[in-house]
This record gives sequence, structure tokens and C-alpha cells, in this order.
Amino acid sequence: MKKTKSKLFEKLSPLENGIITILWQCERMYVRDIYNKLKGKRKVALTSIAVNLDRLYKKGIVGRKVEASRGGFRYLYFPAKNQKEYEKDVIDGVVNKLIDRFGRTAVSYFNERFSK
Amino acid sequence: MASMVCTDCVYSFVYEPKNALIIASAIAVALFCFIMLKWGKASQRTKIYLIYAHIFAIIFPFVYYAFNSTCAASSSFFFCKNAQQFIYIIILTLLSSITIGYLLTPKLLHLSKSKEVRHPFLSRFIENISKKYDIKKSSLHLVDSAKPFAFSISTIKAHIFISIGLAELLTRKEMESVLLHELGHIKNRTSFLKFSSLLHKAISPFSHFATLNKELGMEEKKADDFAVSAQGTGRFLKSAKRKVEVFEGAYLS
Repeated sequence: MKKTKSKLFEKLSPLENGIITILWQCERMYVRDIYNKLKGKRKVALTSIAVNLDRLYKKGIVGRKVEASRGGFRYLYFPAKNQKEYEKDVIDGVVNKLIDRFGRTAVSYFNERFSK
Repeated sequence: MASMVCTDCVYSFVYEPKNALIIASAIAVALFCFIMLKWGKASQRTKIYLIYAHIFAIIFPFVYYAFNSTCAASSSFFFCKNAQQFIYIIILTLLSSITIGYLLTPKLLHLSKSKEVRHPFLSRFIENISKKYDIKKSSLHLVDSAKPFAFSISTIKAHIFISIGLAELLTRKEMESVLLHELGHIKNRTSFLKFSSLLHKAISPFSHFATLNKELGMEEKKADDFAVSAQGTGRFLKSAKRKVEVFEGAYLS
């Protein structure tokens, strides 16, 4: 079985999902802003947000740039792709995986499924 | 190297009583330094001297051989010359990389993943504390990493490195305590001790049995004490350390 090249199709944790959903809504945010938005909804620490944002950055799902602030420096995070593009990529990855795994059976299944 | 070294040359060199005595003396000095490092009650400065004496005693037989080796068998003259040149190259590379490594470490780090920055608050804070406590002038470097960490290197000039992840997690007071801790290291010249310890680990086969971990731990404590006394409280340094630990724990989970 062929391995998927991109890390984009890796399953996201619930917290990563929560973070990326907020980023899609607000577009550009600092760690502390995301923390302030999420802490009302669930019990979460600032350090956990920072860790998960770094993981999302390494998976290529979010981008970041450095900005100087009054007290020091911080990252400004933004989604690397919008929600639609990301979803398309995930579906593409899943379909490719199925075709790689099941070959013709998967293709004929899709034909049957979509001809209905 | 084995193919290049003529074993006859080495044997004839070592079997000569004068050479054997000199090599045995070097080994004895290396062992003496090791014993003093391991069991002696020497001060930190003396231990650094002992480390360099130990390293020198380990390298010395090779240097001595390179300078004095002669080859009895004319047929293997070419191999002897090659071996001699090879040893010269090793020694020169070792000595130059030690010197250049020590002097250029901040520059190399700077080129690879960090950049020198001037921040209106952090840079001024470093300048003020340096003036107040008569500490070497330090530049601030920013490391592009979300992991929170800070360290300092002091060679000709002093450099303080902080990661963006650290700046992001800490409050202003906590950041001040971390900078004070690093300035404490610069004040106490810990860099040279750290470098000597790394060099000892890299060169000496005995380094695992006689480390400088205790001295390095004491230096950390001294830097903490400096930060606490300059800030007037240990609260912020403690909470900064706790945040870093929590981040590391979350990263591993």
C-alpha cells in the first residue's frame, strides 16, 4: 500500500479541530486570542493551545509569522488553506487511499454509487 | 587510517625506551587528572584546568608520534609519510575546531535558526541590568521555534537566545526573571564550563565516569539565585519554569 505523501490527511485531535475551526472563522489570531476563545467552551491551558498550534503548523494546516509585541515576540497564526480547500484535500486523500488499497473494486463502487 | 599506518613504524617507535617512557608518562598524567576529577575535592577552576590537562595528555602521544616517527623500512616510507600527515591533519583539525567552535558557536547558531533582534523593552532591560551589575554587554537573539527555551553563550561578546515560544507563554515579569537567569550565567562565565564539559565528553573516553554535572547544576543554582536577588522574588522564575515544564509535558503526550 502506498503511503500518503502529505501529513495533511492525518486525523486531527479534538483540540486541533477546535483550533482550526476558530482560525477559519477569524482568519488571523495570536495564541492568547485562541486561548481566550476556547477557554469558555472547554477546560484548556494556554500551553496546550501553543503545543497544538505548533503541531498544526508542522502538519502544514496553519501558517505563522513572527511579530513583535509590547512584552516580547509572538506568532500570528493563520489557516494555510480555507475550510473548503482543506476538506477537498482530506476527501482527495481518503479516496486515493481507498483506490490504493482496493483498486478496481473501489473504482467500480464509486461508479455505482455516483451513477444512482 | 589502519591501511595508512605502517605497523612496523609504530612498533619500532613504541619499543624505543625513551619514547615508551614519554608515552607512559602521558598516560599516567591523563589517569592522574581523571582520578582528581572523579575523586579529588578540587574547585571548579581547578577542575577546568584538570580537564584540559587530561585532554592534552590523551592527545600528546599522537602529537609526539607525528613529530618523531621515523621509518626504518624504506619500502614503507610512503605509508609512514601518509600516516604522519594524517595525524598532523587530525591534530590541526582538532585544535582549530576547538578554537573556532568556541568562538563561532553564537555565529553558527545565529546563521542556522536565529536572528539578532532589538526589542524596545527586552533589549533595554538587558542593557540596564548589565550596567547595574557590571555584566558584559549582551545581544538578544530570537530563535524561530514554538518550544519555550532560553540559553546564553559568552565568548568575545555575550549572546542571549530566547525562543518565540518562550516569549509567547511568559508574562513580562516571568520573561524578566528568565533574562536575569541568563545574565547570571554570563556574569558567572558558565559558558566556558559548559564548553569544557562538552569537549571533555567528545574527546575523553573516561568522561562518562567523571562528569561536570554537579558543577553545572551548581551554576544553574547560582544563576537562579542571581535572578531571585535581582528581582527581589523567586515567584516569577518558578512560574516560568513551571510553564516550560507543562509545555514539554503536553508536547510529549
